[in-house]
Amino acid sequence: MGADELNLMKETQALRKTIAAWAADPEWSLLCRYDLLRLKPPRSQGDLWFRRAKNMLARLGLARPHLTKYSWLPTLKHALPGGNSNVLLIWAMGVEQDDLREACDGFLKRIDAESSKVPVLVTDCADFAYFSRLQWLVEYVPELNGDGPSYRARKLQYLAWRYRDALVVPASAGKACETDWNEVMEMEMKR
Amino acid sequence: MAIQLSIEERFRLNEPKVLFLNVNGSGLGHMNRCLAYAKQLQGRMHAVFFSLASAIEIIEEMGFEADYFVSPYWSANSSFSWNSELAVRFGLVLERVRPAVVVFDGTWPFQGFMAACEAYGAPALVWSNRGLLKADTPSIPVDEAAFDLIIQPGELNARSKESHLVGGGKKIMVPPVCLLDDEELLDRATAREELGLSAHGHYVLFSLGPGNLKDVAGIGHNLIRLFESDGMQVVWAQAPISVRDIELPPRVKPISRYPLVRYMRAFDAFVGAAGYNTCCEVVQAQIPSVLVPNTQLADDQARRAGLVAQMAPVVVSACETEDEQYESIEKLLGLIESGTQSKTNPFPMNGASVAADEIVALARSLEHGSR
Repeated sequence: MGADELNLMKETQALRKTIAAWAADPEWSLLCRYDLLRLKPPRSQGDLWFRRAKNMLARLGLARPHLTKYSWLPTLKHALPGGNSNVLLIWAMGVEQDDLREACDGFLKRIDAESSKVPVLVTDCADFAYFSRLQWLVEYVPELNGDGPSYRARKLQYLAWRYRDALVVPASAGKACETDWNEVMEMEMKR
Repeated sequence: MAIQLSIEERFRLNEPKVLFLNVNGSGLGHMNRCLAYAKQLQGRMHAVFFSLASAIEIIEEMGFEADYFVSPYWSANSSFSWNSELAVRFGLVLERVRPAVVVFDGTWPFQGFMAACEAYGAPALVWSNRGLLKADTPSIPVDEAAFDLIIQPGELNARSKESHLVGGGKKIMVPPVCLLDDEELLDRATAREELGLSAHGHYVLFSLGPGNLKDVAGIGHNLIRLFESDGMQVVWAQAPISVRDIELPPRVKPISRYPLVRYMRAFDAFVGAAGYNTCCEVVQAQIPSVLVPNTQLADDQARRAGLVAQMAPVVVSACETEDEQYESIEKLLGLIESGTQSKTNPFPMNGASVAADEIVALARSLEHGSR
C-alpha cells in the first residue's frame, strides 16, 4: 500500500467517522420547528395521543420527536438518469477551486462508469458556472455573518443527517488512481 | 474618496438585515432584480441572499453574502419534498441572519418559504412580483394580505402607483428595475478595451440565454452565419447558469461578463431574448438590437419587446424561419446604416431605488413599532 493510498484511506475513515457522528445527533428542534406540516392536526385521536407520547419521550431523550416523513432525491431533472440513486457524497470543504475542478473531473470519469452513483457535492467554493455543467446537486456551505452558533457548522451537521445513508468520500478521492479508488469503495462495503 | 468596507465590517455596522430569496427562471432576472434592490440598499441595510439561481459567485463578487438551494425547476423531488426541505434550509438562514425584512422575488411564494417565515416569527414580508404574464398563464391564488409590501417591477412604460392591501400593507408599482445606473455603463472605447476588442472592428453581441429551457443554438448558428457574411464579428455571451456548453463556430468569441449591460455599448448591434432584464438593458444602452421573444415562458415577451421597440432602435422577430432571420438582420443593418440609434425614453428607470426606499421605510416602521 503506497503512502498516497494510506493517506486517502485515513482521510476517508476520519471523514466518515466525523460525518457519522454529526448524522447521529441532528438538531431535532430545528427539524421540528420547520416541519412543513407541524400545524396540521393529527388524523385521529389515536394519532394525537401517539404523537404526544412520542414528543414526551423525545423531551426525555428516549425517542425521536414526531417529524413528517418525506424522501429527498439528489437527482436533477436535466441530468442523466442516475440508476438506483446511490448517493455519493463528495466532501470538498476547504478545497481550492483549481484542486476541486481537477477532482470533479476525476469523479466524472469514475462515475460515468458507475452510473448507479449520484454525486452530491458539498463545498464552500463558489464556482457554480463550472458546477452547473457537471449537472450534480451542489450543497453550498458558506459562512454567513450573524448571531449565535456558526451557520456553517449547523448546515454541515444538517447535511450529514440529510445524507446519512450516502457513501462519503473526500474530494481527494477524485484524483486517486484506480487501485486507491477501488480501495475507498471497498472500505464502505466492509463498514 | 469612498471607503470600501468588507462584508464583516458592514455587518458590524448594525444596520437592519434584509434577506432576499430569489427564484431561478429561464435566466437570471429574479436574481438580477434582487441585486438591484440590494445595491440601492447599501449603506442603509445589510443584504444577504438565499438564491435558487446557481450563480452564487456573481452575488458574492458584488459584495453580498449568499447561500444556495437547488431550485424546484431543477430538483427531481416532488413539490411536497422540495418545500419541506426549503422550510428547514431557509429556517436555518433566518436564524443566523435574523432579518428585519425578507424579500421574495418570484412568480408565486413557495409554501416552504411562507412556512419558514411563519415558524421563525414572521419578519416583515415583501413580495417582488414582476407582471406581464401571458393571458393564458394559469393564475395561482396568493394571499396578498400575508405581505407587508408587494413591489411590482414595472415594464418600460410604467409609472409609480400605490394601493392598499387587505392586511394593512401596500402594493406599489415601480418604474423598471435596472441593476446599473446609466453612468455605470462603459462607453464604447472603454468597453472594447476591457473586452479585448479592436477599436475599429464591427461587432455584434449575442445573448440568447442559457439554453436550459429552449434550444438557442439553432437560431444562434443561422444568425451568426448571416452576420458573418455581412462582415461582422460575433461575440457570444455565455450564461453563468448554462447546464451545457453551446458549441460555437470557430470565429465566434465567447465572453462571460456580468452584468452584460456594462459592456453593451462596445457593440454595433445586439441579439437577445426579450426577458425583463435584457429589455431594460437595451433601453439603457440604446444599441440597435434584434429581440427574439421566448414564447415558451410565462411572461409575455412579445408584448414587452414591442414596448422596447418604441424606446430603442429595435427589431422584434421570432427568428424561427430563415426568411424571418434574414429579414430581421436586413432591418437591423438598415437601422445601423441610417444612424437610427438612440431614441428618447420618456419614462424613468429608477425602480430599484424607489423599491429600496420602500424596503427601508418598512424596516424603520418595524423599529418604531408602527407596523
